[in-house]
Formats: sequence, structure tokens, C-alpha cells
Amino acid sequence: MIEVQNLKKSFEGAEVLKGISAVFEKGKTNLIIGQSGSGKTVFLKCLLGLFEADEGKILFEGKRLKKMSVSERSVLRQEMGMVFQGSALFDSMTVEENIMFPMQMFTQKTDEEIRERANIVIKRVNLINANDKYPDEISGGMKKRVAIARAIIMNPKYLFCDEPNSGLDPKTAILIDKLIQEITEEYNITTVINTHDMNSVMEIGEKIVFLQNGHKAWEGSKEAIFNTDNEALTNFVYSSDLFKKVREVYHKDDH
Amino acid sequence: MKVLSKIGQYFLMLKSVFGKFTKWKILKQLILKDIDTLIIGSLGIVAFISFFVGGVVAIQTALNLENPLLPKDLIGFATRQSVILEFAPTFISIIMAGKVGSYITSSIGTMRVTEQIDALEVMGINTYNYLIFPKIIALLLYPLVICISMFLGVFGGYIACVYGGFSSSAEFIQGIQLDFIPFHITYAFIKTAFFSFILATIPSYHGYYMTGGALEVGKASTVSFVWTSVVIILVNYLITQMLLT
Repeated sequence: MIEVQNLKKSFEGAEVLKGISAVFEKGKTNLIIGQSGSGKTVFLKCLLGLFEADEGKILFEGKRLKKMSVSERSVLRQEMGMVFQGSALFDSMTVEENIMFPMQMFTQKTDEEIRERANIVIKRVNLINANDKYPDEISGGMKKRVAIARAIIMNPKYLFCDEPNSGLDPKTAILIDKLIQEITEEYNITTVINTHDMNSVMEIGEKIVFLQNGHKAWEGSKEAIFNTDNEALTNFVYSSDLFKKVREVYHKDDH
Repeated sequence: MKVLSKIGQYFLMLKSVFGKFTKWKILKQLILKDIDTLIIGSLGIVAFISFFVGGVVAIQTALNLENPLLPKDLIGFATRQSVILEFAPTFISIIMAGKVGSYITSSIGTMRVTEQIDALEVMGINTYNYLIFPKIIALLLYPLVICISMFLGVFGGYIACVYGGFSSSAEFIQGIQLDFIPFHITYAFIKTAFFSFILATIPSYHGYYMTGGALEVGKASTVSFVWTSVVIILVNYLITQMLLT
């Protein structure tokens, strides 16, 4: 479980996060949603420790991130997996080398043992015949699968995803969302996903935190979105005609 | 103020480079890869430039020796002094700031833009050590490149001079042995050692701290080349002042 209390972060005087508190539960897909510029990425980078928060607390299983020693932080980082928006695969490495990298870096296992583990996660994310290919030789969807495989190879406790299905076609985007949800349940990990894709929200949003201008404007489940009277959230969710119609159908069935 | 802050940031970066070390098994591979790219990959262009510039120095010297009382062995002497003291260590380093420096800035800058550096940080890797330390170690072999440049520069001068009919082979060889001061070689290699460190770290700094997208990677490479050249010229002046005067 990750607990965030009154998190604040500014850049050159501009306040990006204005006191956000939230709890991200274990074994669930926790979604952070909001418009571009609402502070989602900064919030996620604070959770990852890439940005130091100005005020507030981030607690991993009750342990405060800021108070952790260097060795505790190092252990925590090895318990984290991250899927970046652009996948962030290492260009100079093949798919297999990318996936094996964290284990080669942090374990004393032999190359054979690491390759064996890599092949297990490669199968788990349904990557077929791509082991020897370089990142620029594979599709966007495959890159995301490689990034997920790299993120889970160390059996993480926490999985963070920044816009995991951006730039993907709707069908592949759903497959990637489902894969993340399955992995979350299977490995019983705390997953935090940054997204503005409403399809993802409806598919896998077990817990949703809505950010607006650096504030937490709403928190709840995907079912609660249909009944919310939060104007900002309603404007965000129903900005497309498709979701307006979904809402009408939902309310018709309800009555 | 901004320049001071950047200089401070550069020295903090250097401190972090020698902080938490990457696993030796991985580091070894990175060092070997950087030796291949930065050192072996530069030999061709260095050899080509050194040979022909050495030839041009000899021809220019020969053409300017109009007084028949001046001995012909001065051509070899001037070629040796020019190549060993300045051309090989300093001007090859400025050429390398363009070739190797731009490569370092753009490769690290691209990793920054595509979030590869963030990915390494999330894993708990000391990215300064992982990315910059192998380049510093690889460039420890840079004096070897300068050694080859010195030899080829003088050899190019010899070929141009003898086969161009400006002096005899014996006169040229006598010239390159004339008033030889071994400390000049030491001086050249002391400069080279400083330049190799500058070549590894200043471009790395510009790549590591760049912000923006693909366009900014190009801009960072240009800025990196300018600053690396400026620092090489300034350090060259200071070392010359301290060691030769």
C-alpha cells in the first residue's frame, strides 16, 4: 500500500501539486486521471522518488520515503517496476537484454538463470519471436509489452505506469490494460497508473483519483463516476460524445 | 550567476560520477563498448587529418624558407615542433570535441529525452556512474590516439617534404632530431590527459542536463562542442604558461 499525505511540489515558484492526499491499495489497479497539465506526471515522479516533494509525506507500507536510508531506498527501488509513456527501452540492447537488465544489475544469478526467468515473463506478456530484435524493430504495442516484462522481472511490490496505452490503437490499448490488471492480481502488487484514457478508466479502474490543477478533485470507483455530481470530473469524462451516450444508457438502465 | 550555477552543477556531477559504483560485470561491458566507439572509431579520421596536416605544415614551412642561408633541416624541425607541441594534442582534441563530444552529448541527451535515464534511476542505478564513468575510463586511452597523431603528422611532413622535392630525406630526419627536448613530449601528454577528461565530462554534462525534445538534442551537441573547445583552449593556455615558461 502507498499512502500520500498533503503532497506539494513547485517548480520555479509555480505550484504544480497543491496538497494531494491519497491511498493506493495493494492488489488493485489505482488510476490517476486528469487533463494534461493537471500534475499527474509530477505526482507519479514524486511517488517514484524522481522528484523530491517540497512538503507532505509518501509512505510505502507505512515507511516514509524521505526518512529512508540510502540502502532502504535502494531496496525499495528494486521493489518498483515502471512502465514509461514512451516505453523507455534501452536502444542499444535487444528485447531480451532489456528484460534481463534489472536482474543482471541487482542479482548474483547466472546468465542462464536470468534468461530462464526472462523467458517466463516474456511468455507472460505474450511476446512472440522478439527476443533478438532491437526496440526500433518492434511495434508500439510490443514495446509496451517489453516494458511491462522488464518492470515485472524482479517480482516488484509496486508497479507504476505512465500513460501505458498512449499511441496505441484501441484494441491493443485494451489488451495492454487487461495485461496490467491481470499482472496486478496475479502478483498481488500495488499498481498506480497515470492516464487520461477513459477506456482504461472503464476497463480497469478499480480506484480512481482525479486531479485538477494540482488538487485532488475527486476519488472513487469507476461505477461512482456515473453518479458523480463533481462538475470538473463530469466535464472531463464526458468530453467525448461516446461517453455522453454511455452515460445516457447507464442512467436509462438505472431508472 | 547562471554560469556559476552551471559550473557548480558540473562539479556536483563529477562528485556523483565517483559515487555508488555500477556492478563491475556491467561496467566492464560499457567501458569496452566506449573504447570501441570513442577511441577505435576515431582512429581513422585522426590518422587522415594528422597525415595531411603534417604534410601541409612541412610544405608551408618549406615555401617560407626563402633565404638560401637558412638550412633545409629547419623544415623537419618546424614540422616536429608544430605537430608535437600544438597540432596533435590541442587541435586534434578540438576535432575530437566535434566528433566524440557531439556523440557523447547526443547519445546521453537522447537517453534523457526518451526517459531511458529516468528508467535507470527508477531501478536505483547511479546514472552518473553508469553513463559517464565508462567514458572517462575509455578516454584514458586517448593519449594513444595523440601518439599516433604525432607520428603520422611528422610522417606526413616527411613524405610531403621529401617527395615534394623541398629537402632530402637526411635533411628532414636531421631536422626532426635537432634540439630535441624530451620534456616537450611530457608536456604534450600532460595536456592530453587534461583534454581527455574534458572531452569525457563536458559533453556528458550537456547531454545529461538537457531538457526538451529532439531539436534540443541537436542544440545541446552544438553548445557542448563550443564549451568543450573553449575549455580546451583555456586549459591549453594555462598548462603552457605553467609548464613551458
